[in-house]
Amino acid sequence: MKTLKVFPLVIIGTVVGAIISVLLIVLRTLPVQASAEASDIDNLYIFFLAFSGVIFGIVVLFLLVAVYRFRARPNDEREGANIHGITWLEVVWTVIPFIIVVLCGAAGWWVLDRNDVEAQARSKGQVVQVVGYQFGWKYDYVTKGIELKEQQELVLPVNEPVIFEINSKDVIHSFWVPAWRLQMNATPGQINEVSTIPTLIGEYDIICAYLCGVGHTAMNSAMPDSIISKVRVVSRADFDAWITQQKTAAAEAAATASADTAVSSS
Amino acid sequence: MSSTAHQPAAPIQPYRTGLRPEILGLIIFLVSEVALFGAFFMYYANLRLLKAIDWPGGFHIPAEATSLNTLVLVLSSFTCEFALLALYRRNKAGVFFGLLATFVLGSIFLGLQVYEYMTIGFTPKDGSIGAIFFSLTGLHGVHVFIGLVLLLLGMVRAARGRWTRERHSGLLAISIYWHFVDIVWVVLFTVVYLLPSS
Amino acid sequence: MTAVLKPTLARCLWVAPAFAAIAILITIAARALVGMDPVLQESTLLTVAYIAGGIGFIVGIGGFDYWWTWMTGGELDPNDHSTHGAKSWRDYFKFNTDHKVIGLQYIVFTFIMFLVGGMFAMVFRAELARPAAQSLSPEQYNGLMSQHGVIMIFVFLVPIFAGIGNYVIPLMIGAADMAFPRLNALSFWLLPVSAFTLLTSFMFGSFDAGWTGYPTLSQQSGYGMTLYQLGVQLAGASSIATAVNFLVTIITMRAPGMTLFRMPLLVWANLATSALVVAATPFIAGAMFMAMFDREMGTHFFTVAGGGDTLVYQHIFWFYSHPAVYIMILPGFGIISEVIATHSRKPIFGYRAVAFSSAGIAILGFAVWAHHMFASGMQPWLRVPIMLSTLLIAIPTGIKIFSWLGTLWGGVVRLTTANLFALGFIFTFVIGGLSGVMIAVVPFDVSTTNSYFIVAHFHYVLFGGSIMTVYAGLYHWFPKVTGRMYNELLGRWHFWITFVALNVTFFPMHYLGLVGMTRRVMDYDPQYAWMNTMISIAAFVLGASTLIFVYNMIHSARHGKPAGANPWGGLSLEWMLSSPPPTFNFPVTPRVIGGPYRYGEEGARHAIIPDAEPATVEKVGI
Ligand code: HEA
Ligand code: HEA
Ligand code: CUA
Ligand SMILES: [Cu+2]
Repeated sequence: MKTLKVFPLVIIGTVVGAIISVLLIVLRTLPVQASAEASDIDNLYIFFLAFSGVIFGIVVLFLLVAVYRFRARPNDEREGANIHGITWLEVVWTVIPFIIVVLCGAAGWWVLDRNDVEAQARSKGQVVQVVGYQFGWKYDYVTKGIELKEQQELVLPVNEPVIFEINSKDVIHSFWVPAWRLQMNATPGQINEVSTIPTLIGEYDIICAYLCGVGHTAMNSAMPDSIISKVRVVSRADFDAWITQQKTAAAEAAATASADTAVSSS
Repeated sequence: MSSTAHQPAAPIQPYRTGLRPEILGLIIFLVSEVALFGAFFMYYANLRLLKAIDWPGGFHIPAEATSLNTLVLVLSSFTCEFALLALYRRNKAGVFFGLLATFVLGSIFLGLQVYEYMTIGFTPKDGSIGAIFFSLTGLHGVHVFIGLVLLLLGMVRAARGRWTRERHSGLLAISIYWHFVDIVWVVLFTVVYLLPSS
Repeated sequence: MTAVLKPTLARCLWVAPAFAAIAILITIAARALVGMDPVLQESTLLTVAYIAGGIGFIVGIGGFDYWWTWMTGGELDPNDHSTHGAKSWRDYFKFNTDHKVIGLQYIVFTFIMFLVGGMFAMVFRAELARPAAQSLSPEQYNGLMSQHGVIMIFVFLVPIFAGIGNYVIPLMIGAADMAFPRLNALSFWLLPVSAFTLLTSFMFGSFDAGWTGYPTLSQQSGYGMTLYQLGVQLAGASSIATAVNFLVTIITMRAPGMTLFRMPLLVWANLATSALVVAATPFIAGAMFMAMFDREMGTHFFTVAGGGDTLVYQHIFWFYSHPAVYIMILPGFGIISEVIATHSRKPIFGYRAVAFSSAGIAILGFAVWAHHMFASGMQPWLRVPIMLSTLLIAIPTGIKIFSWLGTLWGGVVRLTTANLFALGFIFTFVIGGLSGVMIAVVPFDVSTTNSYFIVAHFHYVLFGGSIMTVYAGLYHWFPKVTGRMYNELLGRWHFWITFVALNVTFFPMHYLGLVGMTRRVMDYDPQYAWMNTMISIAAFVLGASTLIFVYNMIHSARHGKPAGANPWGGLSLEWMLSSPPPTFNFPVTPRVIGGPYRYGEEGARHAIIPDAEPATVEKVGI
């Protein structure tokens, strides 16, 4: 039974593949985990890398060994073995991938479900309306007691749920915060809701991920000369301070505005 | 390169299957036509079912009037069949007049359709519903028009006596196409005109 | 003089403009009559001119001559084959009904389009080589990037498989030609029109909304966007026509004894692909129509103001464009089966499984379109079913991969260039497929979509998948087509440079995507500079490697050493004919007596050509 000789190869392939996976995993290719979902999603990614590396390792090892072991010598007139298939083997390589993809689906579904459930729980959280336009973002804090409109920067308290109601003035944009592993299109004519919990104080990039015209490149806070501001995750105290500050600023602006109108009307 | 080299050793026609290539080809093509209408029906379904958008200004779609030209079109399918039967009966005049009748009925249908467009009270520019209404019926209208042209050609060849009981897959194709246009209309009529008014 | 009257390109040169001019005049007259203003609406006139000009081109080349006689009820001679077969190179620039001529026309034309599309990539890769804007303006960048995608997909990758199929399929099933030779020629001549429409859009403000052309951005773009919508439809019409032709040919014109399970796997693949094309392509036509009406007639399919729904465009677009990606790989799978079996002297391992998996992929392919829209804000309940169906596609694809490995195992593997590309394909395609499986899982996709991770995925499956199969196929059938051998040494160089450069180009893109570099940007966070520079350099090498291929093909076609009928010792029918095959393929109808992959069986035959000398089987020593 020639095919029995392949089992050692499967083992070696698995090992080689596992090494590849481990390498890719320890390379730490992902940005910081700054949200509640991040770790789940990263674990998904690591799980993918694990089996992908193994599958890749096995396939490539067999490829190379086959090419080496069964290579044709110069002016080689031999023909290959007249084997048209081995049913049990075909069953094996149909069933194992099936199991793997089912695992993938299950894992993905589980993470998705967890996030959705948490999202439900957050319904009482801070609501921020995000409006994309060419080329920038506008944030309206509309939760009772805050009522801040037309903010150019996004500031959030750490460890508190936040719900984004994302919408667009003109064309499709996409609200992407890699550190949160969160992306949602801003589609004109509809409100797309996503929610998260920032878990790490700091400043993170907000990137418009969907092509929205000539300014698409610049609509990215990571760009050196960007007009887009990063999202600032701060402590509760700092957040309240910021709110009051914004409110007073708004009030003053309103006051001056009415003063102007008074002057002009007299 | 002698002139005989211009003759294919193997004939360019099916070796085994009895299937007529041109008819099979037409049927496959009609499958893709179904898909084309499918794209527009998809849009329509999304609009009416998911977004529950109604006709502009509570407008009432003229199901009664349109049922008339539905009748006309269905009738034309029968006259078209008659033309084929006539061919099998070796009745050359029958073929021609069968096609003529079909052509006339088809034209009446188009006429009524145009009349409806003019009297219906909203335009393709009246919101997405106007757009999809006119493009669905319009797309079908275009198919009717193509059908009419084909019928005309069929008549020309009939007049020249080119259709024989043995070689008439062209005529067969025309009739199949015409039936298809007819069926599509019946579906369209049910979905767009009848269902909403109920 | 007569050249401008006979059906030639010369005639096109005046017929096409004439048609355009007439159409413009009619439109102006009509608008004046109805009293529309402005009477001279530029975009409308241009659109009319393009459509009429396109028809004019086909008329000029002679695409309608036959049907004209038919329509006017003229007498038709069923065995008039004056437009069949090429006697000189000139015939390749004429309306020809020989599937072998058409196949070559397809392959050469689309490959030139590959070079053009690649040139665009070269240009914007130069822009991306360093951070900060170099030479291009954002408009130019978006234009080039969109053109790159559209040219590569609609006038290169989809049609080149139609070209290869055109040449090989009728030979493989023992037919004298395709079922509808004229329709076949027509669908080829639609392509230049489509390419012209797409490329000339540069003159009117190129389309710049990506190859997907989503509204509402597409409503802001210049007139070029309308030409994109037009050009895509022309290409679509072409591929539907070809698909109908393939289906009818394969169903009705197989030689006696060619049962379904004696068909070579490339034929199976083409059967599945054509079914996909017929059922899926009209959807993109629909989407393009609607978007075009919005732009040119002021309808409100996708405008927010008119209560339109931009999401539906995405649904309809992907309902075609996902099946399209399998339209772009299934024929490639077929080619790989031929190449690996022939060059490894071993029967395909699990023939039926491979055949059915093509069908399985084609069917599943219709149930997964929304995996391109996980972050689009679509109906949430769609996510999980689509994720699961997408994942399932890994299984039939895996069956193919493993079957090919099983075919290699215990064979006599000849490392010809054709086979090298087939083996390299397995390596790179698996990478692309596995990254595909990752992004099929919703939460992970939502964290990477629209990033370079996606760009990496689809270049691994498109270049590392489809293009590798195209190269494998071209090298495999080159001797059959030209009657000469290509230069193996150059071929090996071509393979190794392409293989290395392609991995160096596209693998780092995974990383860029994960750390947050988005697609369709002309500039990026300077910290990614060195990696992008590396990618660009590798991309230039990749481009250069194609020039080796071009040189090898052109030079060997004239000076290569004679190949003989059957240099690879293949069993399928095309190898039983002389190289290049006679004008009407088979002297007498062949009879198929066994499977196509009976390697290693003593004196096994796939088919016999009754009372005709069986072609002598000589082999090249590698
Ligand atoms: C030839 C073209 C081609 C092919 C074959 C594929 C194959 C696949 N693609 Fe790809 N895809 C594209 C072309 C292609 N794709 C393009 C062009 C885009 C981008 C469009 C755009 O936005 O511009 C895209 C985008 C794209 C997305 C959307 C990403 C996004 O925009 O957010 C997704 C998500 O699910 C996806 C998934 C898949 C999957 C699961 C497969 C599967 O078919 C892969 C199956 C293959 C394997 C899995 C490897 C071999 C199998 C084995 C070795 C068996 C064992 C494996 C397992 C058990 C996992 N693709
Ligand atoms: C079959 C499909 C295909 C192929 C083969 C390629 C080939 C290449 N692609 Fe392609 N690419 C796409 C399909 C393809 N691409 C699609 C669909 C998109 C998405 C567009 C969108 O987002 O809307 C895309 C987007 C895309 C991007 C992302 C752009 C962006 O998002 O901003 C990049 C970036 O590097 C890229 C690079 C390349 C490179 C370097 C090659 C190289 O392989 C090219 C190699 C070069 C050549 C083959 C040309 C060689 C020619 C010469 C050297 C000179 C001779 C020329 C003449 C004589 C005329 N492509
Ligand atoms: Cu906004 Cu991209
Ligand atoms: Cu897809």
